[in-house]
Amino acid sequence: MRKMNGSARPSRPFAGVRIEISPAFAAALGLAICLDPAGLCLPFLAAAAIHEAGHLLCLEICHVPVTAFQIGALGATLSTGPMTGRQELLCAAAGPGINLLSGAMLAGAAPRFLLLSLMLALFNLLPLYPLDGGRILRVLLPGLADRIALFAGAGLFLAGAVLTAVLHQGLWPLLLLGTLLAKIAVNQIQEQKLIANHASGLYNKETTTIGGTK
Amino acid sequence: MEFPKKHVQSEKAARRAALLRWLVGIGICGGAIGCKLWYPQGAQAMQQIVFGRDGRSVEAAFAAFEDSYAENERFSEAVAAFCGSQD
Repeated sequence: MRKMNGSARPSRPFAGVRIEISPAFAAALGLAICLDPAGLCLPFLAAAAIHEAGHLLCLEICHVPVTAFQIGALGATLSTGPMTGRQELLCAAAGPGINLLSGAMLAGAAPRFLLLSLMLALFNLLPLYPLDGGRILRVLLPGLADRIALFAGAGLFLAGAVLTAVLHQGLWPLLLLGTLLAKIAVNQIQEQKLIANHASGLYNKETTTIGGTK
Repeated sequence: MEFPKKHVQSEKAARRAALLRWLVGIGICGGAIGCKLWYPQGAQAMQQIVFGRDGRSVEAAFAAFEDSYAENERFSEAVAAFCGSQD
């Protein structure tokens, strides 16, 4: 049995992982099927599954224990054990990386899948914290990450407003941004709670560390 | 072992809230799929609100990307075709 941080890991990979599906995912899936304008729902779900598989594979390779897998309206969140900066960097980059790889491999047979994979990878590389790009930025530039995220968020909001109001591309940019910003807010609240618990001595390093790879 | 009454009540409230959230989620999911199956005009109206212009621009953009990629297999040109057909 392999050991990590001095504690025994489960012998089977991903055994004991708590899987949670949010009701928001059910609602988002139904709406996606209903509103799907060009048969994009299935290839997009495949690209998202491959993205998460990339994270899981890298976590397994890095010997990072996964404690929970939560599927919500804006994708999945993995809760993991403690990670070093290098492990976090690799595991965060693995999702978009495998999207680009799988898209390139299937480009000839399914060009639509290639484009969706590219879009998913680029969206996840946005420098906003719960997303992979934000995680990478926090490891590489810990002092500047929040400031860059602020400007990126403001820029995205402006871009969304221009797409909706000026270019008449519908409400999807604002809906996407709203969900993303809500996720960021929830994440911030959870982080603050963790910090508060840590300060009051309720924090347990072995069980409550949130990795949260998008 | 007996749990305090307050703990049992908060557990029940949490379960009820979770059940309510699932009912709302499944309701939205079922409503959306039902709308697509039995009331396509409504689904199309929603598409128009969310994607603008009937969702046709999205379909046209992806079709342009696929055509361009199938023709010359150059990704940059296919992306240009995808972006160009948005307007």
